[in-house]
Amino acid sequence: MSHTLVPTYFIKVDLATNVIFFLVTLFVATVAYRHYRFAKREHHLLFSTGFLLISLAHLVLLTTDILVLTGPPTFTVNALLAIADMVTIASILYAISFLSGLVLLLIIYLDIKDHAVRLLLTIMALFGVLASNNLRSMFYLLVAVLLLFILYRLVLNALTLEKTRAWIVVAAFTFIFIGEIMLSLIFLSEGFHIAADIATLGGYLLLLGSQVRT
Amino acid sequence: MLHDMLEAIQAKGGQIKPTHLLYKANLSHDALKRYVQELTDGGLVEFRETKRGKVYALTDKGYDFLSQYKQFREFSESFGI
Repeated sequence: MSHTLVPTYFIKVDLATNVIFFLVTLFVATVAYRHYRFAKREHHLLFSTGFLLISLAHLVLLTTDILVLTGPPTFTVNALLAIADMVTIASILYAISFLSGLVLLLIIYLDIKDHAVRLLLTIMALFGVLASNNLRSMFYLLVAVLLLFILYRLVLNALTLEKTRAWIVVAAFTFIFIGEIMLSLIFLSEGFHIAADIATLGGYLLLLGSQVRT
Repeated sequence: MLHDMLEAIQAKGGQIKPTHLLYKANLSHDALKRYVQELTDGGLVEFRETKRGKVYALTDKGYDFLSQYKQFREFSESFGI
């Protein structure tokens, strides 16, 4: 979603960061799935699926970045319109993947067991954004709310455990949250996109760091 | 409980006398026998005769299980899941 307002001089860096975001989230999804196979706990399967969806969202963004970078084969009106259409479709795909991933994480953290409630929450989140007149603002608002709930649970977990690893995860999600807030402000200045990428990169690197074995 | 028993064996260098395990696990004799049977059936522990007497020993699969369990616990704790 954010790529549509990426400053042109920043698009290669944006592509590189999206590759990192994609790889880190895919790594977390893979590790969670390995643990699911070991312990057969549903939470780990949902967690893995959630991160897989978020990694797919980043894959959509980096693919769009490549499309924008390479440009159309010929600079005709039709070719430019086709690129614009693809960017719009990519934005919607990104919103669906990212939101579904976050909703799955929230289902774990709120310990929602009822399948009907899970489905209802997912549908409401997706329709709330996709049926909105202002897809961009609604998307960032909802992402911020979902991340806040997740952060709250992570802080409670870290306070209970008092382990460094848990606090690193809290820091990681805080940076990702700040990144999303900054992305919601890019209409004010394109500089927010650069700041958002830096914050999100910090978040994902911390997430990776939290899984380094001691 | 099974995991605690495996950790107790590992803490003793990979093998432990049945009486020590009974004391560490704080179980009745019958319960201990049942749990040890589960561990030996799963190939995680084996019964050995040594110079020091009879011991329960961790197998390679048992060590591997403990390593995986440690990673699982660390991951789950860090994300609070």
